[in-house]
Amino acid sequence: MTRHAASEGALLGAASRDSFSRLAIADGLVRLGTASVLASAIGASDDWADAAVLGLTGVSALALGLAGRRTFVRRRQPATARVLSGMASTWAIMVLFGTATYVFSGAISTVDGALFESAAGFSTVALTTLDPSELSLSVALFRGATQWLGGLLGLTAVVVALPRAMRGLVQTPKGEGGSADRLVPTTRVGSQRVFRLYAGLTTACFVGYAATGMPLRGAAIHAMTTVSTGGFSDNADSFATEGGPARVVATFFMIVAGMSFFALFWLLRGNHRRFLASPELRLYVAIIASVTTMLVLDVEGLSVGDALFTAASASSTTGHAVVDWTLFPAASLALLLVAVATGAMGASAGSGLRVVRAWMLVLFAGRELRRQLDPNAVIVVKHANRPLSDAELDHLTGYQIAHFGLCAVGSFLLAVTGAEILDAIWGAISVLSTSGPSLATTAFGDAGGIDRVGRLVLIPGMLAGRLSILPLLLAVASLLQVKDLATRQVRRFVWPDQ
Amino acid sequence: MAVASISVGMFVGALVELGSTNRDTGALFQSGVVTLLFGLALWWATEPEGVRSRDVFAAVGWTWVTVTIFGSLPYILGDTFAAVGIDRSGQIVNSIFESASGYTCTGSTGMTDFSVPGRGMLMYRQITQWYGGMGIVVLAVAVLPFLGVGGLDLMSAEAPGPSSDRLSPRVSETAKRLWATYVLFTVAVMVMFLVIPGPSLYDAIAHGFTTASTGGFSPYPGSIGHFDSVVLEIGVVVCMVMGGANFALHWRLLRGDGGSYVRDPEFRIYVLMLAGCAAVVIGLLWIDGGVPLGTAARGAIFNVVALGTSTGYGVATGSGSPGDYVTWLPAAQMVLLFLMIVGASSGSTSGGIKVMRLQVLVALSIRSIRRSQRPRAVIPVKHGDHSVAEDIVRRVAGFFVVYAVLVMLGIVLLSELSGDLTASVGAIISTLGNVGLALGAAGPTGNFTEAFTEPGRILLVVYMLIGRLEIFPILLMFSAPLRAMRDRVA
Repeated sequence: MTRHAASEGALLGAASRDSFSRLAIADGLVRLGTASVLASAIGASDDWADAAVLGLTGVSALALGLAGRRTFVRRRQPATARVLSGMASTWAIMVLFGTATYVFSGAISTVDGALFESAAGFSTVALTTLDPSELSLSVALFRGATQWLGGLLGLTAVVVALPRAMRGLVQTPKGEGGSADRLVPTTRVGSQRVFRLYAGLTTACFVGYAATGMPLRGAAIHAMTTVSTGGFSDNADSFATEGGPARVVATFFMIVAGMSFFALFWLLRGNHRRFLASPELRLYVAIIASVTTMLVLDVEGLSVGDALFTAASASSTTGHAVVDWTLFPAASLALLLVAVATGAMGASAGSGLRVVRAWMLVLFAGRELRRQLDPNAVIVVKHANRPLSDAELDHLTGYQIAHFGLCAVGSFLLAVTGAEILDAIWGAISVLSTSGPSLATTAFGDAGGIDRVGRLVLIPGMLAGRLSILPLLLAVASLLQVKDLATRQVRRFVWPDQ
Repeated sequence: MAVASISVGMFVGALVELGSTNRDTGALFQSGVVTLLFGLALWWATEPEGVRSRDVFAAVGWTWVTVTIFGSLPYILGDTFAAVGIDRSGQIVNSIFESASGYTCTGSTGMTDFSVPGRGMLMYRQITQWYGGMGIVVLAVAVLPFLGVGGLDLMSAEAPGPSSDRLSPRVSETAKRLWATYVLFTVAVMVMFLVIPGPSLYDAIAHGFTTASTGGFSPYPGSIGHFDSVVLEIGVVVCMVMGGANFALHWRLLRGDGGSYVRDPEFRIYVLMLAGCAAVVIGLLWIDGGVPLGTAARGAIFNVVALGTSTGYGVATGSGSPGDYVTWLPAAQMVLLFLMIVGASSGSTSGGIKVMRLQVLVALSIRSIRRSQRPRAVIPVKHGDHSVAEDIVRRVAGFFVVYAVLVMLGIVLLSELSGDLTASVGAIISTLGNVGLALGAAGPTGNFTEAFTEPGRILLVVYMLIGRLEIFPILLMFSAPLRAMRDRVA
């Protein structure tokens, strides 16, 4: 081998090790492995066989993840498409590991059933085909942990990765994300702050549940699935059989989980003025209050507490349920669907259209209405005292149209599998908002009524809902070999900490 | 002028009704006289000067509201709703509903017994849709030269689509050409009905009015299904497709440029969309639903075209018959719901958001995704080979956002007023798209009186008007009076 060939080989080797996607997958596997091993250790006394399976898969994931961390490096600045496809790949690998865990533990006998359960977990969608009360402690904890990890992945994506990947295209508004540069000065610091806040909220939620007298198993699982806006429960009927205090704790933490990371960060730093100054926060609270009021007025015999719980669950896209809301009058159902579609605040663990985007779209539509009267008028759309550029508004509307299109395709595919029109529309919107329960399922998220094909159809929607629509479209573009979207590295992703 | 012009339809109806023993002759004649006098009084009281841009929406919006109210007089004074046991408030609501459904070319009906109104009243009902098809304001622009100033704004406010084609440098000439094309097309449709065995002269004239206008009213409860003729259905399908095409293309055909259809990117997508949706529905009914291929094709093609062009004719011969699409598979109904939203071409007589807007929205969406890769790239939104101006792109995006908000708001309100979510979803989308037929109880074999409460039907009237004038004029019709009041106070 000549010296030239050797150096070329070394360069190629270095290039093949330089992969953001693989490193992201390795990080995900380390987290998943750690969660599995912990669940195995805690549940060993309850069911040693399940614990052993979890331990084995956990150790495998951990070993693979650690090996990946040692092998792959992140020297080059990855393109935006690489960041987005890396997120999608991480999600996919975690889902596959979760599927293997369910199948090997015997909790779910079919691969497609396990895949659905795992995808619902990592995308924080409250849909299940299991009776959670029959699961062993280790599997139940693992199931809760899938939602916790999915919530963390989603939160990191919307707070750290996506704003940086999309920089120059969309600026997050001041008060929510205009302060992003101060709160997320670097990727590492941002990720650490997200993790600390997320873990802190989970701990507080766990303590809250435990203090209401909930068993520790239920408290741990519900804490993980409430803070992540996941919605899995330890009971088949979610919170319907839980006592009043537990419902109060759940309502509080669902509302908090749907709040913006930035708003919460300012609150925890004692800057109440900045927290309260967020227009998105005021809108979010107003939506929950309005839906609660309408439910109390429209649904006979529904208490204010249950109405608030249902409204908070819908707006934060959690999916916990305290009553069978599928039996509500038509107007209440329509209102809940609007709340689920609108979703939570931007930069939160929740999903959906997002309150900030919905509000910007309303402002944009208002401007276009005014322009009909005065076609030559210069009308500036402002949000949180910051003027929004035409490019931002164009991107926002284009993105939302893609979102509507995906809803339409999802609804049609669900209808093809036999779901009634309304059930199909609701099912698609609910999954894209990562809420889960819909008229196609029960209010408590039992997806047994959706057939096998229908459940498989929902899985890409879960990915789009959890990580936003772009990673899904880029994954599709990669499969279809669309050059512009997937393979061209026109713009480099900037990692300020390197 | 617009108000006075609709009295002609009432007098024609009265002439057809002449000699019958019911109250309809007198009702039509009295309504015609009252409407004519009111219109002439308004004309006399109005100074003949051009319309300012900012007053356009108020002028067009209030014209349509006035026409709808005066158009309901024959139904209120006649037997249509009085003789079937509906109370007085119900009669008034149904009359306004029927009038709005007519002039906006929606085609939804509150009539429960088609044997009660006379042939003249039913003919008047057909004529209302013909007026609404090309637009009463366009008619006024065509015949009133002084409306030339601001006339283009008036036409744009009423014309379907993001921009109106000018067939001549002069606005009034453009309006005349559009109406001339419309009249010729209507005559052609009537001839088609006459040539095919089955329909009488009355049927040909009546259906000619509502096919050319893509309105969808029929004097028969079974609509086109009444004739049970495959040949007639094929002919109607062709006419509906042409009615959903841009009338500027028809004008060019009359001038000898038949190739303009093929060159027009909107027309190509429009036809491909109808063909693709028909194929999907046929496949679903045949493979998944077990319906024989011929039956599936007959029902699917007709309903896809009827709803895709927002005509709203039906071919159901009874509940559960092959043409009764509310009994089809949910996926097939979903395709029809999509078509109700999209509608047909801009510059046609149809409703919906229009194919051109859909093309612009899809292009905008793709541009957003491409810009995720290249934030500083200049990527134009293209329609065919031409770049679409950014202000039109934003207007289209704004239109879509307002449309989505209106749909959500309407579904919540209507389900509160009427209690059926599926029917509410279908009815709001149907009336906003001026389609006529909806889902559930408001499907081809149902009617809106039984499906919705009186307040619900009033809400649907508002949605029909919003849909016919493409949202902005009705939402902004209060702006000019409010500005005038504000200026006076200041």
